[in-house]
Amino acid sequence: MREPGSVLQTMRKLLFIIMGFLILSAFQQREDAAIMNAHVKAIFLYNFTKQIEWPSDYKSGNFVIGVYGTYVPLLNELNKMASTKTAGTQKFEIKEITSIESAAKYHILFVSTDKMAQFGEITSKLKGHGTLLVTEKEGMTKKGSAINFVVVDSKIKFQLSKTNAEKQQLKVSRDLEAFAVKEND
Amino acid sequence: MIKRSKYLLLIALFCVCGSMRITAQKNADFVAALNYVNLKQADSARARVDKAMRDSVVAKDAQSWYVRGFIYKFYYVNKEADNQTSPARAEALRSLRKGLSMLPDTAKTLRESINLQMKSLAAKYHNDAARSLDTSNYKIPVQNFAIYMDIMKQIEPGMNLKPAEIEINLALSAIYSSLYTASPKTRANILEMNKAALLKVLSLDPNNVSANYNMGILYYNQAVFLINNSDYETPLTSLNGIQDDQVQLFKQSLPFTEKAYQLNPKKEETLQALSGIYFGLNDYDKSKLFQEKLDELRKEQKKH
Repeated sequence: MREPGSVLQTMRKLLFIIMGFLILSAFQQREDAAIMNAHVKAIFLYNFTKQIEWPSDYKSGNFVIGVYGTYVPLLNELNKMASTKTAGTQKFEIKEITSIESAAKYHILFVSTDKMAQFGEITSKLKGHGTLLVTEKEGMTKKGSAINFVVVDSKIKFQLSKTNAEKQQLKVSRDLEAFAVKEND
Repeated sequence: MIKRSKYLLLIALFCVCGSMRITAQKNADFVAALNYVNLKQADSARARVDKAMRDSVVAKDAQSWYVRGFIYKFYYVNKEADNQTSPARAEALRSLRKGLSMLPDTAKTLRESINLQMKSLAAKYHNDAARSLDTSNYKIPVQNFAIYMDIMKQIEPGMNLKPAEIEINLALSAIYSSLYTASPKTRANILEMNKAALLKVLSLDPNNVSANYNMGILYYNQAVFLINNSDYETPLTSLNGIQDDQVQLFKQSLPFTEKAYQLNPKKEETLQALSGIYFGLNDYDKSKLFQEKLDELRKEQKKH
């Protein structure tokens, strides 16, 4: 027969439950924040495929999205997206890019922040290709990027350079223009 | 364990027989019931005590209810010990409470005996609650814990029940958190129950590190769930609204997590959480700052 004093013994089980949860949630956090951020960007990229028109020779075959630089969560998210979605009738093909070739054919090229030093080289190699260049560093639309992810009021938004998009033979919808934030917003 | 049970049984019977002499002599069923207890025949003891209680004289006596409570408790221990919703245990409690309510203020000895039995029942309710609490079973443990609290408040009004209440609510919060991840259909309901459990802890102890941390995590997980469960085809108009809600949730998470950090700056999980929250708020500098603090802490811990 356990008397009230032994209540303390069963407290151990309660503590075990509590501690187990603390460890579990700690593991989740480190992964989740980066995945969540990449998920938002993948949603944006998917929307871009609907709101931008690519040149006619880009309308057949796979819809290629390249990720240049180290960005594993975005690659994972894009691969998940590719397994369930299509860009119109085109299947998505996600590529992890280690070097930019002039002959390469990408519909979208996401250049991560660790490759910004090479951005000039990238724009010259892909000049006139039907490639939507996407970056995520302040001021990049002035350096040739068509879409640049920025943070406004703690939210991910994007800047758009219609001029840079048109240089790449891309037609941007008015709806997409309306969603873009201005450089100094 | 058996020896201790026997010892307690003998004490109880001694008290009963000593104090119940007059009533017992008047009712043969009562005497028989107590004899059955001695013979460890729980079914017969319960049947005879119930028969005895039909006597109007016996039923008006506080001591009779004490004995009935004792016999029902005996029945529970022998026949329904594994039943978390044991009717015999509930009946034992009801009888003891009835006996207590009929006692005059002067009946100190019997009051102590009843309290002792109730305290023992309270421990059983508590232990059942703690032992059986898991993700597949939390409603009955919650009820049992409430009964434990209720009994203790009645028999020991001055007792500090805060630690037990904090402990069970933190454990419940952990259970609800697991359920939140595992059962999408009941998510909203579970979330509110989790918040209620944590707010209860914080009302008892605003500086409780675990409750502050868990409250922060609760909002954090809500924010993450909101985004990660948005389809890739989510239109940009909706995405903007989702991000608004997400930012709101991260901001709700922040004061609790920051408080947990102030209360215990050496807790790795809190530093990870703060790094995650700021990352979620797209404040990468602050996220990095807390990640660096975490790295420093780990280095220190390795040294020791």
